[in-house]
Amino acid sequence: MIPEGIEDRYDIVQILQETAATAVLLVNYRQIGALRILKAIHRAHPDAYSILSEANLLHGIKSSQIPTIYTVEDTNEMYYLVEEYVEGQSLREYLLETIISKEKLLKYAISLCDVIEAMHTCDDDPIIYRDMKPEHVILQDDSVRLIDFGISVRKSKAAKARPLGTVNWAAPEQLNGGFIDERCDVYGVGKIIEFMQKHSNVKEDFKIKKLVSQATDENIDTRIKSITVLKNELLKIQGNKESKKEENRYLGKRIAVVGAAKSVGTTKIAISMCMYLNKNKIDAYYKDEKSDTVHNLLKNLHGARLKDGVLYHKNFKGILNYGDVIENITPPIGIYIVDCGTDYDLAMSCDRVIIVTGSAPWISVSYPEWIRDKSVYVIGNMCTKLACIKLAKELKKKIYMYPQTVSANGLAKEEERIIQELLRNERDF
Amino acid sequence: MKGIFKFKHWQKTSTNKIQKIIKNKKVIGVIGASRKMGVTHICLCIANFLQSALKQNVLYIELAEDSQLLPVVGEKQINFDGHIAFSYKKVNYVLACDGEEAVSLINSWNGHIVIDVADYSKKSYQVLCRCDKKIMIGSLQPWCIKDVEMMIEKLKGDGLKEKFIYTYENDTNTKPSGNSLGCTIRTRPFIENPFKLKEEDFNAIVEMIL
Repeated sequence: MIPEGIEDRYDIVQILQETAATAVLLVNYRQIGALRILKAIHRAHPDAYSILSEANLLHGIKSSQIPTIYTVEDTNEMYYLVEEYVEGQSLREYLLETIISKEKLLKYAISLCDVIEAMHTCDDDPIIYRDMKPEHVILQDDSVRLIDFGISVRKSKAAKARPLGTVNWAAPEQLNGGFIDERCDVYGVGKIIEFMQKHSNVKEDFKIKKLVSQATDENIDTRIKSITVLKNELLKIQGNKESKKEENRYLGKRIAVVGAAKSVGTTKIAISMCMYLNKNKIDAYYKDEKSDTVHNLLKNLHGARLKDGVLYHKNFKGILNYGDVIENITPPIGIYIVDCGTDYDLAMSCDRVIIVTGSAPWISVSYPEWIRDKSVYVIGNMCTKLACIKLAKELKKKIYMYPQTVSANGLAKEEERIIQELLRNERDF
Repeated sequence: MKGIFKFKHWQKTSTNKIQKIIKNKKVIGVIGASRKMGVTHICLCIANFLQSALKQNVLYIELAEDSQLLPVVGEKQINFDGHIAFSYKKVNYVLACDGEEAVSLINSWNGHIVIDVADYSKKSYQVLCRCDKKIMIGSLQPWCIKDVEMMIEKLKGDGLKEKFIYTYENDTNTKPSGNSLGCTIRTRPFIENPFKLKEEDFNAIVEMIL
């Protein structure tokens, strides 16, 4: 139903959507010749107030990524709202014909977080968008703009809001009529990132995958707590990516060594790897963020030296985890071999991951979902050849069999060979 | 050429002395010959160094009637073996401790102990006798040397061979020889903030507690 009495100011360019009681029109504002969106609704319609509430909501958000509201007026029969026409291609249209890169994916995702963050932090009462889907994300250069705030609500009124949203895009608690807060938008943004990843050249990037799974967790309590946290995680991934470009070759690279279970020799392999790289004139530093391994070495290694928070002993260089009282020391530049113990989350923050596993029947091993990623290598330590073959079949992945050595702090030739083989896959080395 | 090697050697701190400290858990007692000699400052430096740099288990005993450290370290109270203590930057502090409690702590604590002896008394003397390492801080200025001599006299016969006096004065000409006082005299290291130690402070602290 097209509202009457607007002809003197607006020329209808296109009817975008029309029902018996509502209409969405693309109009030309005659006075300045600019295109605008006119949304109209009949006064008797049960959602007639929604136009007023949309105008009221958008008014409070300080972001250039949402459309500007020009006017809200009424005729005898209808309310209508005139807002900025956001030009550009929707994310869905764009991804139908394009495969995006990781850089673009991260840029769009962070930009989307920015606009949602502006909504969640406006006034004292956050606005929950509730309608995240690729059709509502409009691309403009390197940023995105969000449209259609028809079902957005203030957090204080969310409990009374009708359970609206788009199936497959809206958070489960939103569709079930459960308790909703800002985390339902975290879910929405997570779904958009997932959608972008499916249409990108980094489909298997485990860091993004992990982030998506945390953001789209069906259980609201274990989901990422806020859009700011999600944005910071994306910035971290972007930071890694950008710092890699700036640094030469291998410098600044972090290689995680993580055990699939306790006592599988993670520390020994990490130390050996560090020694191997230093022996081959590549600055590598061992770092144990979980325990005081380097302090234990300080206690036991003879002839070691200490400088700028680094313990030097033959080909070994280890970063000491000083306590709060010691003044911060600038970390040295080089490769970091991070001993992650059995912490897969810590391993994920690194550029490459080496998972160490064993085959002893009394140990209980667990593997992450992202084990098949190209940047993840698996070493079978204290494993027989047969056990390694079985494991390779099970994981559908190459398993590097680590040699059994007797040398406690030296580097056996067999070890050198296997580390060399591992690093051969890395062009940088 | 030799000079270059020497310089390189100096750049990196040898860990042999550090290893000795880690392996031999010690009770270190610090007393001032006069008031306001910076005993607490040195004790805090030693305790924080042992904990934060070497990751050792450290107990700080403030042997005094009233605590001066409570406003600084008294955020988090803990209890162990029936003692009330405070944990700050992972060092455990027993504040305003009396002689008997100090002796019982020396007997039971597994780790390093730093004892801040505020004043000389019979009881504090008994505690000081239990220390593996005794450090006296004093000044050799003419108006203070009397206090140093008196304190040495008081500490005589404690049965321990080594006593160190740390002074503010750096000028060796003003220092009397250690032998005339019957102890080793060294210059007190200047450490700006005991809660913000620098790696270059480590050597001085190591020398002090070794």
